[in-house]
Amino acid sequence: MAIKKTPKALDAFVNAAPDGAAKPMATEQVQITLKLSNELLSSIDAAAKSVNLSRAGFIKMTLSNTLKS
Amino acid sequence: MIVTVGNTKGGTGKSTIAFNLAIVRGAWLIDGDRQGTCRMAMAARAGVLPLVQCDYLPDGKDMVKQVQASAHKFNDLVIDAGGRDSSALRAALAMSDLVLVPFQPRSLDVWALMDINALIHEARVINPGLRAMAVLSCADSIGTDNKDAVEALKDFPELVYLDAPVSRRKAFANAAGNGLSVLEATPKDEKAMAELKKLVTAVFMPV
Repeated sequence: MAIKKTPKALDAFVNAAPDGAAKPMATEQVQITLKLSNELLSSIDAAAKSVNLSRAGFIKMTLSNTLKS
Repeated sequence: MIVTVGNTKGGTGKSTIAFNLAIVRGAWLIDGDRQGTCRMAMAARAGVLPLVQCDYLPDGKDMVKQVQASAHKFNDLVIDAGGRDSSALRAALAMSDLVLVPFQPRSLDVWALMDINALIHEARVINPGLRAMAVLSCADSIGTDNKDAVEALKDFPELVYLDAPVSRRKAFANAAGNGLSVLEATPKDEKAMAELKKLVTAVFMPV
């Protein structure tokens, strides 16, 4: 049992399948600094915990939903 | 020897043939079909000797890595792949010595050979030694459809006809459902056994 192909040619052939394409890179993210009051932060953390999300995940989801609507 | 049992069309009997070939040859069986039919049939085989290693590798890249790492441990490798154009089917074609293409003696099956014929043509650019043979699966016991289907195969130049048809028999389905090849199952179906033996010989020990 010999494997005779060049790796690059083999990869290209395999990746050409409908389920073989390279997955798109995640959108580049930029870090920002944002000052919030302790009260607002506590409310965010409580709301995030209630839906099993991290603080960052909850903020992203909420902002994203607000902008979509 | 690496044998892929593959076709871009689903429902042609690939998994049944791959499963039986792997057991009879004691080969490493790779289930490259996302449906995981071979994996399920092999799970039903639990505890039956001989043990047959079966790995579920529906991703082409993973399959290439695993085969490159472990193929040397086995005399034979049988890969069940396809049902559509997939990375697993392409990986299997790129690494195989032989692709066995089961097709039913039906118009839709014959027409669909165009796709696998084109894919084999493409695969041979990187795997020039790839042999490709089409075998009748779920063949009829009467009528002229078998003959007509074989005749229609001439339209697909990448495929050579392998005269070892597997007929539509309950014995194959019943055996696989119990994790067995038709050579192991009881009650014995002598006709099914003869067909499988002929196919194994034609694939692995051609004259």
